[in-house]
Amino acid sequence: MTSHWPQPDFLARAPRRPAVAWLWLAAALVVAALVADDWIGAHRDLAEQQQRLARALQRLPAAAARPRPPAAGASAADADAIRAARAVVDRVAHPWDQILANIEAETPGGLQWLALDHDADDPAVRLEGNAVDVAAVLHFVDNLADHPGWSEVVLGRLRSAEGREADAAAPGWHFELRAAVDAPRIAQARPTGER
Amino acid sequence: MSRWPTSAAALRAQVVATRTGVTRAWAGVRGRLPRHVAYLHAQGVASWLAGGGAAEHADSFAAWCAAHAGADVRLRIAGEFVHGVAVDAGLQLRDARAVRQYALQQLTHYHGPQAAAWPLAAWADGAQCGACGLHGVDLAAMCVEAAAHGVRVLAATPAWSTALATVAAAVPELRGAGRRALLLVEGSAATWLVVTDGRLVTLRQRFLDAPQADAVARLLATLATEGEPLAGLPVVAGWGLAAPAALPADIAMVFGALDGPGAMADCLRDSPEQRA
Repeated sequence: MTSHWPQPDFLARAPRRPAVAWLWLAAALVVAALVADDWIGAHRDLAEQQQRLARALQRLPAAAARPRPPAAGASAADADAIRAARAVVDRVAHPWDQILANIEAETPGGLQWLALDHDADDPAVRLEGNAVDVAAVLHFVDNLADHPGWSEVVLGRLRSAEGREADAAAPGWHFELRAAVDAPRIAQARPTGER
Repeated sequence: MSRWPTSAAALRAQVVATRTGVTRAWAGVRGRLPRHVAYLHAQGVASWLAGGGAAEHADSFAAWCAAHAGADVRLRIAGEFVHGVAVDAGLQLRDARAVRQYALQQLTHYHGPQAAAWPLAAWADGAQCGACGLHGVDLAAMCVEAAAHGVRVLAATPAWSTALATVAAAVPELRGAGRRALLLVEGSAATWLVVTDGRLVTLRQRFLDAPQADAVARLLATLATEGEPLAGLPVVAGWGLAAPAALPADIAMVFGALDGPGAMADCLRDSPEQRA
């Protein structure tokens, strides 16, 4: 019996999609799921990194205020160069003018300065000079010790000028005094110091 | 035929369908779901219980649904509601979708924009394929109507397809080698089905001058001049002629009687869908 005779049906739905189309759809869905998973992971990583960055930025001002030690990786030559540069800066920043101004302000008449020994990296100061009388020298020592930053101002040697020196135009006493200066304190005293 | 185009009616139909769904499912499980075959024609509906039984008649499909609530039904559509679309084999349309697309173009070209809404049915028999458009019947509204009564429409096929399967099974000459033909007469409508080597190749629709035997004879004479000669006598089957047909035996083989309802039941009652 032949059963192949066509049976068109007005209720027939649209022809079904071929199996290949379903395969393609399934494959596309799998790929889409993988990509979505990848994207979600990347998104989570990004959020995490941003949080870490925000935390680091919050800590940053305190860390930046602290002076940084030389980098551990820096070579010895770099460290030497840095040290030398610091020394130069310190020398330049040393309050030479203030120290000399202090000495000059307290120098009485009849007192001649012969030598001043001082170095920026050494607080010791040595002064040498001639004076007509001892009282002026002692007065100078007392006054200089009253200036801020000056300490241990002591008269080292005092002897009467003799020999060739005695023949000079300014006879009297030859003296030597020592003191210690605190450079930062002298520099701080500059606004109110005597110029 | 009454129409239920409003959404409220559709909603109510849905509610009724849901309510009757459980009952239907239970009946289906117990094998007690009545299955019907209904022939939809201009004067109403003729129906048979699947597997035998006397014909029943209803004035409209709505009335039929009301009388057969909860039943399954396979619809056979009369030729007067069907427009056949010939598809040339040279077009090489690949699948049913392409056939439907082509049929839509043809129908809208010849019958205007309203044809775009006609339900389509594509068929294929070997390399030959074709399509039919349904006009004059609102199939969607019928389905809504059926659902409102719990009636499930399993299929809606043109009557010629069932008749062809039935007559070809009963008349071996139609399946023979060469070019054979079946003329299906449904009152004034006639469908000319050409079968070559057991395959349907051509579907033509004609109208009789009058539902009488001499009109059938004239139509056969006209059709004989179209196309190549047949390998055997054409077979004539159908119903709806005004008087008992007395076709000359040398122009056609007559399957059953062309005037009474007997041939209608013989041609349409069996379900080739189920046989296949």
